[in-house]
Formats: sequence, structure tokens, C-alpha cells
Amino acid sequence: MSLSQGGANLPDFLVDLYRPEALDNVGSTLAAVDARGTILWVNQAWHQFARDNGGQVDGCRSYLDGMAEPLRSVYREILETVLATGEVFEQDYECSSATTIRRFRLRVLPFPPAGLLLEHTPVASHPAPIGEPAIEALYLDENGYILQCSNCRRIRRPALPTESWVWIRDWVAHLHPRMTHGLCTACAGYYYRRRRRAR
Amino acid sequence: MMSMPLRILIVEDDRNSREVLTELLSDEGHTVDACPAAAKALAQLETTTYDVLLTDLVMPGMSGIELVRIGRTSAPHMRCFVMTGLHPVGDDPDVRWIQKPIDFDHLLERLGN
Repeated sequence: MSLSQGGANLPDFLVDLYRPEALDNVGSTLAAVDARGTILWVNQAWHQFARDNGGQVDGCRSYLDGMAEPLRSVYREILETVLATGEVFEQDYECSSATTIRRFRLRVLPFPPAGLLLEHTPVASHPAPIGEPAIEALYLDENGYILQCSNCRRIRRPALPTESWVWIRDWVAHLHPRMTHGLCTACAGYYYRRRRRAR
Repeated sequence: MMSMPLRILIVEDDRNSREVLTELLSDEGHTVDACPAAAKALAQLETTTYDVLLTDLVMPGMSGIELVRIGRTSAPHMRCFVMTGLHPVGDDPDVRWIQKPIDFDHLLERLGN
């Protein structure tokens, strides 16, 4: 059995919360897993990342399969704890190649008791100071504003074809004067639509 | 406890926020219209009477505060709330602030008052 290619077959615990096409248009890699860590669904960005890095999504039955011990046990415990407590887990980690330094943030969003949504997002660390026009230009939208998710504080990169949100450390601590606030797709579903199910 | 159903106009340029607020307030029994820009909201205010205007602060073309002040001329009794992720100052007669990220229970409390 292969994984669904995109959002058409979202697991039941996400169906009421997200439009399938919205999750497929998110640049962050997303995977829905069950309580044991078995991957139920991944978005297009996850497939693309796997292809770009020589991975095989279809052959990977568990989120933990690609990890060696003792990391596998640590992450198994993290998934179990997040599901049991209902508390979101976040962790920055490095995933660099020989030529590129890359940092990511993992967010684990619990949907107890059914499963979890795992989100890997790049963390940008620009060497130039804030105010540098070249850096601002990456994030200014067509109206000259910078859109920040009011929940997770990620910044949207409007020029990219998929909906892409990036953590920019300096803009978490200090608001840019052209900042406006909205919601990223993941937070809209998790922090707001989920309450409809709880009522 | 559900408050009295209200007719609410949401003005928010961010699609995710606009859709979520519309869904949640509709679920609470309110009648909700939503616009992505202040210009469209002003046109809507010309044709429909609203109990509440719930607008974003930073929007292209016109800020939420300007929208409130202009909208009030045609709807003086409409209650107006401005949503912002910045650090709002205290409420004044024209503007009541709603802090983003929005605490939905708090928003419902304020709409109920």
C-alpha cells in the first residue's frame, strides 16, 4: 500500500480542520501519523523533499523508520508524550549537507487520541541586519506588508508558488514596521477550527 | 452560554483569519459577512445594517481605524472592534481593541457585552 499523494485522503482526525488543497499548498513538510508513529498521509512538500534527497516516502511505514537508536526511542517517547498530554512540542534541529547549512523547526501537533500532525519548517537566519532591502524584498507582499502568523510567529514568503512560512529569529523578537498579522494554515486548523470539534 | 445573535461584518485581508473567524462566529449563531478590504466593507455598510464591525488594523488601502471612523458616520450605533498583533493602547469611544492571536472565548465575551 502506498501513501496517498497529497491531501485527498486526509486521515479522519484532520478532515474537519483542513482543506486538503491548503495543506498541499503549504511549503512546510507535513505528515500525519497515528498513535504508533505510522505515517498515514504526507503533503506534496514532503514528497518533494524526499525526492530531492533521494528518499522513498512510499517505502517508509513509520515516521521513526529512518532513525537509528537511540534517536528512535527518544522520538517515540516524544510522540507518545505529546499525544498523552495534548501539549504541542517544538524543537529546532540542523539538517545540513556538505555544502549547505540548514536549520529546521519540528512542531508536533496532537489530535488525541487518533494521531499527530508533524510539521518541519525552515528557520531562516539572515546574516545581514534587519532593514536590508534585499532581505525585506523576500517577505514583502504585493501591498508592501510582511505577514506574520500571530500564533507561531512565522513569516510568509509571498513570492513562492506554495504557501511558505519561515521563522525569522530577529522578527520574532522585534516587529518589523510593515508587519501585519494573520494565521498560517497549520495554526488556523489546530488552534481555531479544532475547537469546533471540542464543543 | 450563547449570546444574542448578532449581524457581524468581518474585515480581514488574511484569508486564513477571515475564514476561521467567519466559521467560528457563524457556529455561535451569529450572521456573518466577510470582506478582504476596507473599500468593500464600506460598500457593504451602505447596504446592510450591522451590530458589530470586526476589522483588522493593518490593511492595504485603509487602516482598520480609518474604516471604523468612516463606517461610524453611516452606522453610529455599530460596535467596532479592531484586531491587531501589535500592542494596542486602551479602548477609546471609537475603537475597542482585540489582541491577536485572538482568544476566541475572550472575543465572544466582548461581543456578548
